[in-house]
Amino acid sequence: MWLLRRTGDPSRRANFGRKMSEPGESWEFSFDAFQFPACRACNEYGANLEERTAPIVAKLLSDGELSARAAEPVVRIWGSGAVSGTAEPKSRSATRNAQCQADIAASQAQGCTDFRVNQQQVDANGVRVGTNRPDVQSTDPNGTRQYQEYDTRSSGRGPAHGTRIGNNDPAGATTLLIVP
Amino acid sequence: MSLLLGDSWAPVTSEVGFIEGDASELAAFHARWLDGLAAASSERPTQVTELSGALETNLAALLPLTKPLRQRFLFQSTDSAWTAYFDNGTPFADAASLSRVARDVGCRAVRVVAIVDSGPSAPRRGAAIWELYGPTKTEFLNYVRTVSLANDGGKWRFDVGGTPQPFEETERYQAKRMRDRFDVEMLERYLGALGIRAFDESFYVGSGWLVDAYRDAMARNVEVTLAEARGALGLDTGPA
Repeated sequence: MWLLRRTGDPSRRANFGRKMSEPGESWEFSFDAFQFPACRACNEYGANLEERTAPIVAKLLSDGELSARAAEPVVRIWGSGAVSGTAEPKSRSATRNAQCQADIAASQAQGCTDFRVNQQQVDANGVRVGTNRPDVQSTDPNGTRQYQEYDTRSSGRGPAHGTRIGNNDPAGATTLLIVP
Repeated sequence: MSLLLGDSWAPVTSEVGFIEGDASELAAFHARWLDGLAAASSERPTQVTELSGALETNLAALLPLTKPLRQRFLFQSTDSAWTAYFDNGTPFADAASLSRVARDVGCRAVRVVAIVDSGPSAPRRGAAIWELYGPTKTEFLNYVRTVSLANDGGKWRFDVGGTPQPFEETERYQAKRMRDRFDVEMLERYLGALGIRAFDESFYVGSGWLVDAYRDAMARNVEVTLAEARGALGLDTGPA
């Protein structure tokens, strides 16, 4: 049920295919009323897994801390290596690296402080506000936390990263930069 | 081993910097630079004051701590060619800003972070960080060498960058357990090789120079006492 609630109105109607006996008609059910057929063992296994996964997803969505042990159910289901936390390289391209360094040097000269490069998001007061890793963070001489995200034109991930940064720190300012 | 002043001045002494040069000249240089910033206050010029007390007395001149902007900076003489740098930022100082000083002055500077980890659920995250900055451009800004072990949000992270220095114990970097790759004892030995006794109170002798740089934007600053800053990290109240 929690997954239904997380993804919208639990009683929203969903289409489960055409009625072969009635051309033009389709099978529609309210999601929370529909029961996927399965044997008792599978149902119990799925329910148990669902219950254990709910707090993990809640923590992920709120940028909470999550140990590898606590995230084990998710890792087992999705086979994801995300929990191992391999850090993104500081630079994906020479151009981006050069642009990033030039911007840091310029910001330093203008009095920005508390730089963090590819580290977890921290606001102007030094409070960790997210587990995401903005490319560059600093605090400007007016006390505003500045975030820079470097992206390529083809990637398209920049806006999503920017939205997450802004949600974590609404008082901060995010700049998305497109580099070749 | 014991950290500087028995760690009783943490978090003020948790992150410190060292710059090659005379303390009074570096303080004056920093004051001029601050006055030249676009955000500098025209009503209250930056003041530089000589302090002749012991280290703890000079550190007390930094209080209260402020956030998000730092107002006071201490350039403390030592018994070496290095000047120590402290500031009144909270939760920690920003000795990484010395990379700009090293570039502008044309000297070497060092950033040191030494924080004892208080456990997985404690608010104080451990770190041992050593960064060496130089006067010229390197692969990353003017960072000559960085070695860092830090608890970043509950996850230990070990990073090295730049050119290894002759005194480094690089074989330790291969240790299976990440927390064995670098620690405060190694950090102390690295600093010793550079002639810096960061955790030895007797290293800090002679005058300190306090730079007080108020700017209009600091009207929105929050002031924090040392006891409050220590309390937020789960430490005792510290020196009276």
